[in-house]
Amino acid sequence: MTELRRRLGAREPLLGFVIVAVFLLVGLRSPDFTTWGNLEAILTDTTTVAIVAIGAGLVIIGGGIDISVGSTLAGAATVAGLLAQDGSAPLVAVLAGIGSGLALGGVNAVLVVGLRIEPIVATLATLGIFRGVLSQATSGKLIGDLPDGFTVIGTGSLLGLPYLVWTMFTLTLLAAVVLRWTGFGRTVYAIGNDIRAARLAGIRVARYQAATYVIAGGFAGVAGVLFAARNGTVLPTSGSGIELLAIAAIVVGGVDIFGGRGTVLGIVLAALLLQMISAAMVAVGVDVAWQNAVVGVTILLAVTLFAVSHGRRSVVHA
Amino acid sequence: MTDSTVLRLLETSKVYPGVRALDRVSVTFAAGEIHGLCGENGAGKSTMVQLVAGGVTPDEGSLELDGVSDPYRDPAAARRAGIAVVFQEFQSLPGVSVTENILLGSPVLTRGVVRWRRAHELAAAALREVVGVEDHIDVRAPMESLSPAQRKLVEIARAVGSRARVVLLDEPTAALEAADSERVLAAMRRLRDAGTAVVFISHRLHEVLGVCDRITVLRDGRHVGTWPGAELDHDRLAHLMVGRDIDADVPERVKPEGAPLLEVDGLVAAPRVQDVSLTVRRGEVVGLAGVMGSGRSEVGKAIFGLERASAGTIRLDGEEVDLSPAGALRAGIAYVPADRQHDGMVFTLDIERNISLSVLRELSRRTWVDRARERSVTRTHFDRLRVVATGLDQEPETLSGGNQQKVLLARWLATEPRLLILDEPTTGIDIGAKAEIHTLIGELAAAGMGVLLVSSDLPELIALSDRIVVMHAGAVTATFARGEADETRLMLATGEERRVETA
Repeated sequence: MTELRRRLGAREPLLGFVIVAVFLLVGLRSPDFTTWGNLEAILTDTTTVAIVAIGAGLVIIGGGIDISVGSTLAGAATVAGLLAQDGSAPLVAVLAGIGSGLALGGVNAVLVVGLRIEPIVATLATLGIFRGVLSQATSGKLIGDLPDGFTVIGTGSLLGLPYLVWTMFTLTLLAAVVLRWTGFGRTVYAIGNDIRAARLAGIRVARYQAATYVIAGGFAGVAGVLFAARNGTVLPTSGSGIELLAIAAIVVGGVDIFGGRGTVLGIVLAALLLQMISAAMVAVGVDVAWQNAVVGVTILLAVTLFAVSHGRRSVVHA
Repeated sequence: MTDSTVLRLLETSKVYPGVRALDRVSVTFAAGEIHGLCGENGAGKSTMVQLVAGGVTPDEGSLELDGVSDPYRDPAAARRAGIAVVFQEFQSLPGVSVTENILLGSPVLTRGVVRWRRAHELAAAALREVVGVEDHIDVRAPMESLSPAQRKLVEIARAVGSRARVVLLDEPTAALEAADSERVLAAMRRLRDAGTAVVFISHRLHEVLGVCDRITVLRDGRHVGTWPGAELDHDRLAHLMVGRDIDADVPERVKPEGAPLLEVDGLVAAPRVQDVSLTVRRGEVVGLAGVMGSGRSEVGKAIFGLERASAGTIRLDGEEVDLSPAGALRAGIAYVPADRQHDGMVFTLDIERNISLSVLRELSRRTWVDRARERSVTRTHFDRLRVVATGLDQEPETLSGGNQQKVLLARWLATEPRLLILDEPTTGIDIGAKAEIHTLIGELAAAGMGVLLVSSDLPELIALSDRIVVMHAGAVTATFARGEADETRLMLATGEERRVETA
């Protein structure tokens, strides 16, 4: 394969092209769509899923999976919200929220790496457990009346872009650099490609795998804090179902569901595309009830097109 | 060669339950030589590789590296001591760059910030030691974009690293075409010239003879001898490897005649099967021989629809067969795979349900399985094959390999096939069960079933087959009638590119 074909065959430029195409095509029909304000809104709406998906994508690249991230997000949002409500300094609330995300990720790491429970089973369990414990602890009550010093994180902006979007950009860049240019990142790819070969090469596989779950928890934690700050309220049901959107973005973004392949940029672009499509549907007046179906069709299209363009016999197996 | 000796095996033995895999073998490997290791399947080559690689420790005798006894006890220590092994199966990470494959596990790529320029330079340098300058491979390219030969060269570069003293290559050319093999052989010569002790294990005798300075022959775990490569030729080496009378205790059958039962015409299933045509008559056992990677297994799989064929037809009694397992089964073809553990046994089901698996539809009335019929049908085949087990309800996991194989055979015989395809039916099973399966194959053929027997066990092929079809690089290169083939001729035919003209 030549360098040129390799570049063109990559997922990211294609995603970028489709995003621009959707944006402009919908604009032809409803001119309000192609405004700076709308683009900003779409970007802002993308942040939560994108940040969750970066962390969860790291786990998948490393050969695992974490479907508990929606509940982790709710846990972090609740911790941050409660502290802010009680008058803690915003920075304390933020750090405590991220910290609880890391801790919940640690629980997953112990289950998957320590107790060797299949990742999908372990995180399916914690998806329920985290959410259930949260409902009990908060008695299902709404956390509201968050102080302005905290909510400004979710509503303020800098140089014309919301803090939320800046955070997404920063975390995308950070994660992309870590995956591409650090020993940690390259080792995660190696493990996801062939765990046996990595182990034989003397890599302490368990440590790296555990780290991916903790980091995924941390990203869900950041997303939870941003969620609380943006909405001003937190419910025990906040962010439920977001794990599926995140996995959708991961798969559409070109990450191999069995690990070893994929990029952060692809994940974030796919999250943006999915958000763009749902905004487009609203703009052209499609019933919101169709949105889940459209997400599903997008997943199938992306995965099938990729398989065909790479001449793979099976859609998912390498 | 005493001065340059790097690694010495002194009277080493390794015993596994029921078999002396290595029996007081003494060999030396010297710097700057390519040392061939030859022997049939089960001769002890793999055990010796494991021994040198630190994967197993000898039960008797010792290893000496640079005169130091017992230098390492596990693969990681062996690697640190300068022992590199390139295993037969491809062991690469397809989704990452060549550089990452070569430097897998190295601090350059696992610690801190990765300096890609330096990593690529290191990888390119390691690769250059193996492939030279004329055979360029882009270290930035993803591994999956490389050809099989290039991947093998990258694996060699990874194994050799910066300071391997001894490099063992286990069948490095088995999956490669002749021209590609030459690139790997050139890499071995380059390593030798740089002072490395290279150990080359191969079934391709002409490659061994062409490249090796010395050749050691193993047979049944024993050291037959070590000769300078120049003193041996094909026939002599093959004789040394086989070295015993062929046991043919299968009763003679009437020579099968009449119209063909199975007709395979122009079968192509890329990449391993290129234009194969063959026939099997009713009551005939046709052996399919070839080295690993020759396409012999894939032909069996393609006939049963497990490999997707891009061209060719398969007819059974003149009727074209759908190229899918379901179609093959409907037509009366049964296939017993080589890998019992992965492709055959369902370990969560008991023996009875393993046997009835392929005939559940026939045993059912209006969706419900008729338990009484299931029991009687499975009992019939269980008894016929003399499966040694506590009963039909035993879990197959606790059965010996031979009895697992009998259960699988029972499953397929229950479908009452017209053609039975067997892939390596007796590898890894004990002598007694092997003899029983051989007898069964003879009985089935005598009762009119056509049998396609894919096997790497040459005595088995010779003893059972009415005809032996030899494959090389995906094509049929020779056919031997019963009585024409002996092990030497077969071995030459399977290993050589040139066509062996025989009736």
